[in-house]
Amino acid sequence: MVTMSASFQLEKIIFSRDGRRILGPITHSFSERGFTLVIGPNGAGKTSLLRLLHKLQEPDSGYISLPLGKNGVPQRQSFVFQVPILLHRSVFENAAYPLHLSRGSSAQVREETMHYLEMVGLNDNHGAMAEDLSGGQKQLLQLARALITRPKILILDEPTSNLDGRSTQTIEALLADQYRIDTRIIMTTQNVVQARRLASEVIFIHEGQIVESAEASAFFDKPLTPQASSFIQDGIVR
Amino acid sequence: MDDLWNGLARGTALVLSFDAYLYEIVLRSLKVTLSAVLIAALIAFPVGAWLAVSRFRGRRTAIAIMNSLMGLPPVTVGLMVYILFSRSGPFGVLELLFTPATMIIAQVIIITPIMASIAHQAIGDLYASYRDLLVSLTATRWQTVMVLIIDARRALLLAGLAGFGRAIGEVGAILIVGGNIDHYTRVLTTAIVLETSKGDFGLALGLGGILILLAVILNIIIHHITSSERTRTWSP
Repeated sequence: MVTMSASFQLEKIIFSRDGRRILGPITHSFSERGFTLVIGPNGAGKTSLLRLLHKLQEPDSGYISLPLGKNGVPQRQSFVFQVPILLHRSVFENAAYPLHLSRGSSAQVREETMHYLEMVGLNDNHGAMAEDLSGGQKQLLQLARALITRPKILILDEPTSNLDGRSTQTIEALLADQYRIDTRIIMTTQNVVQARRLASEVIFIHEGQIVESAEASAFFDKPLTPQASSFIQDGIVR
Repeated sequence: MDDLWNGLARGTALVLSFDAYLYEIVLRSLKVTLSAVLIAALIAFPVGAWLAVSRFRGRRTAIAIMNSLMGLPPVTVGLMVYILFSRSGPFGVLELLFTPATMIIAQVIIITPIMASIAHQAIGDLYASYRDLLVSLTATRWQTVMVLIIDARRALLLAGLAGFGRAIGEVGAILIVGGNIDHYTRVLTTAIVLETSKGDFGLALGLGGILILLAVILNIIIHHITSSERTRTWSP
């Protein structure tokens, strides 16, 4: 059943892989706006949750309704993968690819692409092969490619998990900018400190269940469950 | 043994003297084979890509059939094409039997499964790494196939070379459908068969030498491509 709404709605979602249940049953309404950090230990189901929201995979049962825009069509989403997926092409070609798909190539596409590469600081590398970039640069390239379509919703799967402090800082600053222009951001992390820095809202997942979901300050100051409070303390769920 | 040495000497002389007859045959061989490779590529690459990205009932069967067609005996292909294009056959009205066109058709039938199979393998591997991104960007099926074909172009080039290697050295099918007509459908391999049966080993060896030379050049190209592939995962 499709319902009109401006946010993600999950209705009794169950998702399993190879007969093992990864997520669910989950029923949850995401808020319309905000910077949501999905946190939880390894294997809690964070990545699967994001992949379901982005329709990279389908749930076994249950229903997910996507946020609709004013015209009634689903709002534009972009996804940033934990392990960068880059085309075997140049940095420029990678960033421009979403525009090539929708608008072909033109002088304007070229200009826009360079603008986004400049935004993430990769304009000097635009001719290099994407494969030759460092880990941090690859992630920045993914971010440029995600932002170039001007998404209303940005979904990121542990975008800074393998990066050094400087790259992490750059990416966080770019995300903060996006949040400021009212892009809906949903992002996973294992890093509680990072979640504290960025989140307006936190969803805490453990063993495939949403254990807690609250406004960030409330969640960090007064977690309601013992699992959440031990995870906030030292990243371990007891 | 004398035959061999005499033949080699005559063959070398023919090659070095740019013998007109010899080069006419070589040129025709290349023309027929390159046309066949080009046409086969137009069929094989989209088919290989399609099989790699689509999930439909009977897909595994289709792949199994494609793989087993790699072993099609050329003589049988020749026979079938002969029957189809002979005067009483369904395509008899086209009057294509004993023309270079039927030779190209026979070769296309022989090499398309090989090229499609290599393409399927290479594109399947690439799709495994690109899939999530292409789904995320809501690329259409056509856009997906295109980006995979373009980015797998090195492997596809290898597929083309493999098809070329098989086609240029093939004799069974093209002898049947081409008829080895002088100045019209005679190519390297059919000429070698003829000259050998006539006992003219000089010309036969000259032609054979060129065939080997083509194979060596082909292998050098393949080696070059694959070794540059190894040192670098990809390059423009």
